[in-house]
Amino acid sequence: MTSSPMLSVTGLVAGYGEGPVLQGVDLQVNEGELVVVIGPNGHGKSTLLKAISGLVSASAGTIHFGGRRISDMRTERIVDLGLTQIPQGDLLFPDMTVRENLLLGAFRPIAHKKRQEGLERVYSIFPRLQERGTQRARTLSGGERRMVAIGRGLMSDASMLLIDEPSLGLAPVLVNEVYQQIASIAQSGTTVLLVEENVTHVREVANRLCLMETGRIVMSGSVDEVLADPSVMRTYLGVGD
Amino acid sequence: MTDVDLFLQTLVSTVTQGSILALISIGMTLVYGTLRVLNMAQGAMVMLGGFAAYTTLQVVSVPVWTTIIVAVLVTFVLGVLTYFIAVKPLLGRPGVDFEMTAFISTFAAATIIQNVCLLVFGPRQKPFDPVIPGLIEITGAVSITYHTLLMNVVAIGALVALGLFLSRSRYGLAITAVAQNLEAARLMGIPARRAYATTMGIAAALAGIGGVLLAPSYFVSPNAGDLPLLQSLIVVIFAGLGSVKGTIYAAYIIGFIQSAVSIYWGTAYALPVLYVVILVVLVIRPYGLAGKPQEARL
Amino acid sequence: MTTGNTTAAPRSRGVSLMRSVGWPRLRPVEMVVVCVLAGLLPFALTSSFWLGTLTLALIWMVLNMSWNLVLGYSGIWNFGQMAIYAIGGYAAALASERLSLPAPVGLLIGALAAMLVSIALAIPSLRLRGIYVSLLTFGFAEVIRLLIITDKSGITGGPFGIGDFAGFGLEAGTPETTRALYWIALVAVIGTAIVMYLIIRSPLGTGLMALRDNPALAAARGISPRRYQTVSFAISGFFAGLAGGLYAYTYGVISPSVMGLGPMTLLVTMLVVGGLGTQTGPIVGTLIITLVSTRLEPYPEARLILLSVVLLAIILVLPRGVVPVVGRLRLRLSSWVNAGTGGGTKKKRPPAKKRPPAKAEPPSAPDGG
Repeated sequence: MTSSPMLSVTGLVAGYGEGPVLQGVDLQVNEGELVVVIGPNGHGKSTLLKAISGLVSASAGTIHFGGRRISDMRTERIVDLGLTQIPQGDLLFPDMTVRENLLLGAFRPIAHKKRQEGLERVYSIFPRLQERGTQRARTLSGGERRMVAIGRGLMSDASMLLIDEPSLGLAPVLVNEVYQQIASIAQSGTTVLLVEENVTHVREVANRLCLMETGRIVMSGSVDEVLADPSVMRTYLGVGD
Repeated sequence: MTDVDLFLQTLVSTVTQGSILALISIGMTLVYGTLRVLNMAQGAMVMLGGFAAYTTLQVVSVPVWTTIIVAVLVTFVLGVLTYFIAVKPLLGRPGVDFEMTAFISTFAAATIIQNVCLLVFGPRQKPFDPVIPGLIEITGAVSITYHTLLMNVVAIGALVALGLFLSRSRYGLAITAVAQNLEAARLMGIPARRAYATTMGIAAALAGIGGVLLAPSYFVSPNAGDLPLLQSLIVVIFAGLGSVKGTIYAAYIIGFIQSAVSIYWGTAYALPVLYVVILVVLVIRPYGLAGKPQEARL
Repeated sequence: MTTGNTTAAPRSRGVSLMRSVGWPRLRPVEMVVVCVLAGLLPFALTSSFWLGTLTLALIWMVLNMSWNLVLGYSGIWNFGQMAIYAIGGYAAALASERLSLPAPVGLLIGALAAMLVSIALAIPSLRLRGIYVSLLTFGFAEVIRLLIITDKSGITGGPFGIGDFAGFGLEAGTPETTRALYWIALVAVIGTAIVMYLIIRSPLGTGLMALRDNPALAAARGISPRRYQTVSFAISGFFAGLAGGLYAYTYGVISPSVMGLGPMTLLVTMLVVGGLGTQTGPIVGTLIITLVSTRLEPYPEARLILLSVVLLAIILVLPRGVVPVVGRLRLRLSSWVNAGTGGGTKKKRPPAKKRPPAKAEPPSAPDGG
């Protein structure tokens, strides 16, 4: 069972706009890996994650998770199977407290049973959230919101996490912190698929790197391989690392 | 009547009317918050609750308070049914103004329910005995019926239970989540559509309870839901759609205005005064007291 | 609305705009023929019952066309039109009863009174967003209705209404009177339809539709929502009041029973079935529903149930109403015919029913990638 990938996306066509945003994506993530998809904005990275999570339906192609076909499944079933997304922009519940937001992350039955443990774990990783426990989410700072979003994802006790642009809108110091947490999440065994526009911290965490352009994965390999490619260097690393 | 008497009477009336209004209007707010649908069938649910209780009493002789349970069951089911028939088919349809269409479809559902009741029960009002007969005298001129006391207890109890449900229970939090951010809620694994159906069921059940409580004073008839519908619309405009807390405050404020105007001036003036108040509020704060400019669903 | 023409760009754009407002190419000859036939109808139809029913339908058409201007073309959720209609009726009735004014003056007074109330209603309504307007206007209508029912001052006659006025001053019940009433209503319908047509074609009409479909763009192009939509309310109120006055004078009575949930359901059904935002929609819808409703008169409760079921079914299945569907069928028919004669114009756009873009529940904002 370990030879087949945990997540497998084949020929995925999805999304709406002038034409489909995703134009045939092929991607695999093995258990325990942390795969990062980089690429310019607007080329489909977020749509990819949304399609995997079932928020956007696919017009062609398939998605398999843990051996099961999830392409046409409803989002709630996909989450139940242990595939959780930490969405772009956090999407917190603005009028709920930090604690309530976190508890909702453990909605899924398996996670719900372990919610106290989960809460303690999140508080130990992000002590500031415990301080802010009874504060409404809309009053938090950007960095704190990101912590809640990540914490919420952790509460689901998922076997695989999809993370959408974790560095978005954060100051570099906070981005460091966030990526440290992501690294330790990966180390604890959770499989991760992460999309990013900002390649700065990618090297620290990724097992594998993929490049997405115009709705397709055009390159995939180890971090060094991909980043050494001349076209990638031009596009992304021109301003220094 | 002395000033104290009048004051006491106003107080009692405010609390009673406010509680019932809150009970009926909260359903409207919940449904709007979660589904972005102005559920025009809420009034029909009030009426249905009354009829369910009345019919139960005709068929079996049980203590009157048990009819509340029957009313809750019947209206919950009808509420869920209304979701499946009038709202679900409209979800996710492109090119259609969801809010307006759902307004009309729930309105159509309400008239269907109302006319079926008309067909089955006839247009005449049916009498309904108070749950507990008798009254207490507070002062020489002011008294409260036991039924009024019961109304308050049940209504406030139901509101408190709802509050706890929404803020403490897993499912209640899920419904609140759907109202605050649909996409995030789905990402938590919350089954949005089941949440929708449940919300409409709960809203209907609350209205149904209100219907049973109001039955002795309003009588049971197919038109019994018209005034409650109008009143709950006024409450939710005042409160701002989607705000549960705001609705409760608004219900008591409106209850106060209604009571005070009725007692100090005359019952006929209550509604027009109310309407003028609403007009003024809306001119100053177009989204109601606590409402937010809800754009397309978050 | 989809169009099929790809030839001659400017002309086809004009044609597509016309089709999109549900007015198939303007055919004056056809229209005149229809009007003449309608005018001659009373001579062919001897049953005064049916003539009376048609007269009522005609009055409702005026009301529905007025309502369509605000609800359909301006996209404003005005659900208080029945009260405006009633106010027009009451004003006209009072003008006749108290001031003994001749019918045309009375009708004008009714229309103007309704117009003023409608403008007054517009002021708070236009400050609100969509659904709040419906609450406000619906509440307004109900309050007016309840005020009239509980009115003890004798002005409005309370729940029984006003009945003892001259109105048109015609002898009740005679076949000549029945015909005359029919013709009066018919003239009103034709007049209203012409006015509506002119309005829709005018900058006012296009402005209103722009505000409805793309408010940001419209505002950017200098179309002031306040001004345009208030005018829309005013004109709509005028004709609703006219309809009310016609009703009062035709039946010799006006009472609060013309308002309320029941009549409102009926008329909303007519509008929805016909098609909101189309020219012929109100006319077609009114005819269909009036016929259905009259046929079912022997079964009062079943009738109401059936009508509500029709409303529900139409809003779920054909939310745009019947007229656009007929328009599309016509288009398919003509392009099929054209294809057969070798001068085929291919339809560029895909068929109207697209697959919903997401498994999303209520439409969510499109994804930016």
